[in-house]
Amino acid sequence: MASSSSSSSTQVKKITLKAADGKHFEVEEPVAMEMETVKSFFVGNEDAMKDMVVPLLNVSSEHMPAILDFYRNHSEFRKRTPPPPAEEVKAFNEAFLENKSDEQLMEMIMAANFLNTKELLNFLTEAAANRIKNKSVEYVRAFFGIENDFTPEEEARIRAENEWAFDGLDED
Amino acid sequence: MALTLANTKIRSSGYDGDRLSSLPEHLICHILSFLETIDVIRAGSVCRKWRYFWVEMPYLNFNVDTIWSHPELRWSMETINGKFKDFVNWVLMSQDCSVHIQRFRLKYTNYGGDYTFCRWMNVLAQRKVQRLDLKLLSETPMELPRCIVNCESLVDLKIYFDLYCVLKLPEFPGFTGLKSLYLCKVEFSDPVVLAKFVSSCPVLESLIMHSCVFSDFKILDITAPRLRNLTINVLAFHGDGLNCEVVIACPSLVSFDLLGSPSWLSFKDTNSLQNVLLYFDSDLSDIATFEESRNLLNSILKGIRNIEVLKLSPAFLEFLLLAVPKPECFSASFCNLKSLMLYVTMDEYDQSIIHLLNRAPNLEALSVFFEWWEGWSDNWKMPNKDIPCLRDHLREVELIDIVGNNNELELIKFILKNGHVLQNMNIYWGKELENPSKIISEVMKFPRSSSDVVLTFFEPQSDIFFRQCRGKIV
Repeated sequence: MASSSSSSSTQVKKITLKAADGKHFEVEEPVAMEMETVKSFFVGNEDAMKDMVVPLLNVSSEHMPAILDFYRNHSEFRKRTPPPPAEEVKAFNEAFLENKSDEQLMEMIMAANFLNTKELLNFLTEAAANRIKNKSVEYVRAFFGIENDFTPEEEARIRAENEWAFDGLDED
Repeated sequence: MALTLANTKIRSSGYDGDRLSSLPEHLICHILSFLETIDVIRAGSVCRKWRYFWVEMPYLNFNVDTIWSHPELRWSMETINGKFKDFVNWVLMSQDCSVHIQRFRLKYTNYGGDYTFCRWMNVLAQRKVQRLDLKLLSETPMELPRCIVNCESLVDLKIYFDLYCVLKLPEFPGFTGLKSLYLCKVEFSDPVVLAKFVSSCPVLESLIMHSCVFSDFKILDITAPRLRNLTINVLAFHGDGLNCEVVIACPSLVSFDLLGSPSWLSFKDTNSLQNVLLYFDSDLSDIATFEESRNLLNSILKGIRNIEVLKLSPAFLEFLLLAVPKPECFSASFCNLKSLMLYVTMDEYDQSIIHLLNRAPNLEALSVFFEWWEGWSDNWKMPNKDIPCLRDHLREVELIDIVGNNNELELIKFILKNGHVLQNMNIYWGKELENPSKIISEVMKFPRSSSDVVLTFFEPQSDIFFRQCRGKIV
C-alpha cells in the first residue's frame, strides 16, 4: 500500500507531555486536547499554554506513542467526509492490538482511564473483554493477575451452584 | 530527548505486583459489561471480591445461540429454549432489583402463546431499562408489550428479526423518552398506524428501518419534529419493498439515507438537511413516463438543494440523465454541496457527472466508484471548458476500482487539467487490474494545473462503496 507524502506548512502549536518515567513527548495541540486530563489542565488557565510541561503520572512512556497514534487516527476518522469505511477503522484497530500482551493491554486501560478519554477506554476494555470471553475461571484469574482467595470447598460450592456456567468453554 | 529511559520498563506508581489491586473495580465492571451475562456469573468464581459483581451488573446480555456450545448435540430445541428461559428468569429474579438496567441484550426465539418475553419486558420496565437490544425469531406476528411502550426510561430500542416478521405497533401514544429506534426485517402492514406511531414519539432523533418491508403501502409518511437521522432501506428485500410514495416532513432532519426506489419522493420542511444518500436500485424510466420522472426529479432536487454531502447510486445517475437535455428541470445550484460520492456502472454517465459538477460551485471533495464490465464503450468526452468548483474549491478526489480503461483515464486527465486547487488525488486499483505500473506512468504524464497535488495509488479495496452505504446490511 502506498502512502502520500504531503506535508502541512502551517505551524501547529505543540504541547509537551511528561510520561511517568520522565520522558517528554511533544504533541500537536488538537491531539493533546483529545485527553480530558490534559484539557482540564489548561481550562481556566490560559497562561499555562506556554512552555508548560503536563505531567502524566500514570502513563508510562512505553505506551505513549501508541496512544498518541490512536488519538491522531481516530480524530482524523471522525473529521473525514465521507466517513471512512468500517474496514479501514477495523484494520487500524486490529493492527493497534496486534502484539500487545495482556499486561500491556491492562496498563493501557489504566492509562486511558487516567487520561479520561472515553473512546480509547471503551475500545481497550472491549478488547480485554474479547480476550476473556468464554474462557475458564483459571484463565480469567491469570489474565487479570488475580489470586484465588476461595477455599477449595467454597469454590466447589460456587461452581456447583452455577453449574450451567461451566459448560463448553473455549480452550485457554 | 534528554532522558534515556525508553528501554526501561517503567510501571506507573501504585500498581506493581498483583494487578488486581491496580485495575479499579469500575474498570473491571466496564470490561465485564461487554460480556454475556453467563460469563459475568462465571467470573463470580474468580475471587471473593468478584463473587457478587453480577448481582448488580446493569448490563445484561443473553444469547440463546452462544450461551452453551453445541447444545443441539445434547438437548432438543425445546429443552434448550426451556433451559435458556430458566436461566434468564433466574438472573432477573436474583439480581438486585433496585439497580436500574442500562442495557438489556437478548437473542431469543419467541413461540406463539408463550408470554415469557412479555414478563421479562415487564421486569425491565420496572427496573427502568434504558437500552433494549432484541434479536428475535418469531413465527407469529409480534406486538410491542404495552409496558415497553409506556416505559419512560427507555432511550434506545433495537429490534432485529431473524426472519421477516410483522410487528404490530401500538395505536396509543408512548415512548416518551425514546431517542433512537432501529428496526430490522420488520414487515409493516398499516401505513396509517406507522405514520401515527412515528409522529407520536415526541423526542425521537434517530429512526433506522433496515431491510424493512412496506407491503401494500400507497404512501410512507415520516413526520417527526425532532428527527435528525433517518434511514429507509428496502434493498435486501427481493421484490418490491417500497413501491410507494415517500414523504419526508422532518424540520430537524440532518441526515437521510434512502436505499430503494420509491414511486415518488417529496421533502417538506427539511431545511436542516445536510447529508443525503439516494440509492435507487431500479431504472425509473421503466415504470414511469418521461413526464412523471421529470416531476419526480424536480421534487427531489428541490428538497436536497441546500445539502452538504450527497451520495448517488448508478440508477439515480441514469435518472439524472433525464435532466441533461432539459436544463430547465435542473436549474438550481447546490451552493452548499461540499462532498459528492458517485457510483458509476455505465458508459453514459459522463454527462451526469459533468452536469452535477457544474451545479456544485463550492464542491471540495469528489469520490467516484467505478464498476467496470465488458459492455463498456470508451466514449467519455470531457468538456473543454472551465468548471467553477474545479477552478476554485475541489481539493480531494478519490477514484475507486480503476482498471485503466479510457473513460477512467479521461476523467483523471480532465480533473488534473482543470483542478487548479487540487491537493490530493487517491486512486484505488480494481482487482481486475494486473499491472498498474503502465497506467501509473501514463497518469503521471498528464498535465496538471495544481502545483501541489499529491497523487497516491492504492491496492484494491473491494466493495468500498457498498460497505460505506450498505455496511449495516450484514
